[in-house]
Amino acid sequence: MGLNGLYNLASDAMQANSFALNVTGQNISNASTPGYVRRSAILETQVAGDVTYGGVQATGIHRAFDQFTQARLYDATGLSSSADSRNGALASVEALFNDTGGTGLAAPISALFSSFSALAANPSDTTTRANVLSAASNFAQAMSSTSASIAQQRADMLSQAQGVASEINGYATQIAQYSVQITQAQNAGQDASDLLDKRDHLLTSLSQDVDVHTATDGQGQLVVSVAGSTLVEGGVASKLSVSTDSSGAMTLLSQQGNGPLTDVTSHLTGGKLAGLKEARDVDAVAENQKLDQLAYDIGSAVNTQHAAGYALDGSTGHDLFSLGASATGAAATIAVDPSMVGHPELVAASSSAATVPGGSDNAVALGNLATAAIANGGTQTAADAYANIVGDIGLRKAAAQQDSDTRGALTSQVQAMRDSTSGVSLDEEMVNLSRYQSAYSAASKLFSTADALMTELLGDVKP
Amino acid sequence: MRISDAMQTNGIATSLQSMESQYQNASQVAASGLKINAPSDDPVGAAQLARVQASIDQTTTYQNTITSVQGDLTLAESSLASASDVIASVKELALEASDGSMTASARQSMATQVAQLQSQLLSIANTKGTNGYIFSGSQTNTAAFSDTGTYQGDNVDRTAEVGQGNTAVVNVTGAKAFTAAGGIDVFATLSALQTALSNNDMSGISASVSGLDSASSQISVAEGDAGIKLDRLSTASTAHQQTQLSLASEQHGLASADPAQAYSQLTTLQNALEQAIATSRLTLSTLSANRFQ
Repeated sequence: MGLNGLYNLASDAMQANSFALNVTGQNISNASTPGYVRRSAILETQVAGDVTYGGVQATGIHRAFDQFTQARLYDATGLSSSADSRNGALASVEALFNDTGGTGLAAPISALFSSFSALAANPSDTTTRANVLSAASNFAQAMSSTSASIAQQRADMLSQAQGVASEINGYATQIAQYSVQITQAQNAGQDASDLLDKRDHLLTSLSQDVDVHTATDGQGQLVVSVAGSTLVEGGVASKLSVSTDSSGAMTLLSQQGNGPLTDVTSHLTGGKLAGLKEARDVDAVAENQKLDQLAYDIGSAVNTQHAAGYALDGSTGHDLFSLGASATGAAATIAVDPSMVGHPELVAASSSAATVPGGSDNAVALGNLATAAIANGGTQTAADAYANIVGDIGLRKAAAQQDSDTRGALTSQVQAMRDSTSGVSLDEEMVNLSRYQSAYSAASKLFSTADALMTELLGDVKP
Repeated sequence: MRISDAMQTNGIATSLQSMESQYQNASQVAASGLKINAPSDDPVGAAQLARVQASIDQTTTYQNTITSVQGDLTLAESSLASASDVIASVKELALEASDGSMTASARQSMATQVAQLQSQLLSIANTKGTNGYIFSGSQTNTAAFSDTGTYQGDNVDRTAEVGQGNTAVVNVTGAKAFTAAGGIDVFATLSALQTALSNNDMSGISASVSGLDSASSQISVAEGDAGIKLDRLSTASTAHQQTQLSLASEQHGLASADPAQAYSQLTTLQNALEQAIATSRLTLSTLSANRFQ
């Protein structure tokens, strides 16, 4: 190996180290870029035939990426964001039953029964009778407006889920585009680190919306499946949409190209969609059913007792509330019976026509319903049944909060694991910077040494 | 473990956020004075609180009912006392008229006095309270007696709910106090005396004296009855006051935060948060120090 070889050695070393410096520069620049994966230059000894040459070359860039940790991050993010969105959605349902905060139904229920007791004390007084009608109307109003609020919140959750679905479709299209570009770059022998970073970052964003699983197909293309169906395969993205079924429950539909819609709701396990689905179709529905039952139980118990009594004109058989035949939808539709509105004289305080107007036995019986087991199949008082609703929504919201906290902490841990592998450490980069800089300086010294030797050599051969 | 910059900054952000959320909760408790600001703060407590509140409302309703019916019943009791006084005056006149030395014309004028006392008694029997005519039974819109002393009400007990499973009778009927349904027809007795005085009928006068005794005791019994009913109401009311005190204390225990505890909790969290911020600042200044000199 001659003096010329030394020149080449120094040149290779300077090239390789300046490449490594460039990579270090990329890391420093992107230290706080979301989704950026730390890179390092791959430096190798250069092989020239079967003789030892001793040169160095940079053969590429290594991405410090761990597929396993990344998959766990998708899972954890999906579960955490599911709990977060359920927790957020339930906060507004809970607010409807917050009696300490001044909302809630305890007051109108108490006021209804209390108006009957006041009637018993003074059955012939028109004001007292009118007060019964107004308490009944307030009670019905409170029931139906609470039920309407739950319905409105369920509608909001549905449109929120529809927004999430279109966000998912946007991500899917972008992921498919990046997949195509990545394949092109790799086929052309170029480094695709930037594109991979962007695609992985999109996948992490996607995992906030829905549960995400990734795999590679036979052609080496990325396959993204969400809610048990393929969302992206290579450069092809399918579409998700959110709709409702005949019972009003939220459904998630997947469509490949222009193919048929497939219902994949049952496979949905994570992300905002799963949280919204649970809050909307499990939690809110349960509270609404309990509310319906309570409205129906109170309404029918009061109606039965009221119909047994006698009005000031001696007539009997009046219902105080208009109420459907079953509990379904009772809270939404309960109202003071139209025939009673504006007719306080029809309030039935007496238990016989003969004891009108001062007889109060029926009013006493109506008032006694406050402490009678009239709710949930005759097992609870109305107040107990309402307390159960409060306790139930409280438990659901508390569980959602708990889930949100635990899963959030888990996600932070997985994120830390991911950052431990893939995150940039500026300390490390500082060391690398010095290392490659020194190596570069040394290489240039090598070059100047070789040059000095050559000059000396040429000086000797000068005539 | 390899530590990257993102891990450190994320870690700081996460732990500060969690402490701030705890601090936020504690300051809400301290500011509102309530442990339960939403059902999810303590679902079991919130449900219990709703039940306690319902019991408090129910007890208040009973108390209101008692107050509302007590007035008319007290009025009934005092009216019956006045009625007894009237009967006593009539009896004095009757005894005076029994004196054989009295002239027919003097008896005649006594008859006029008895007529006046009878109309006084009629107005007492037709006393109107806040809830209508108090001696008419259930017919509260109808005067208990006509001008001729005929009873127009009924013998129906009016009831009100004054406690759980405690339905009290809140009236005394004129039927029992003043008519034959209670033993003797008071107005008829007075009319008979009046007729006897007018007719100077000595045997009639002495017959009505014993009738007046019966009338007097009948009215006294009714007055006693009203008193017993009032006692029952005030017993119930006292019991409700006790119940309300214990319910209020249960409600306080469930809902209210102990101010000292809330404040010390808030101070502890505030100190912790301040220290965390100071520590974070130190870590961040190390991270942001110029390491590339």
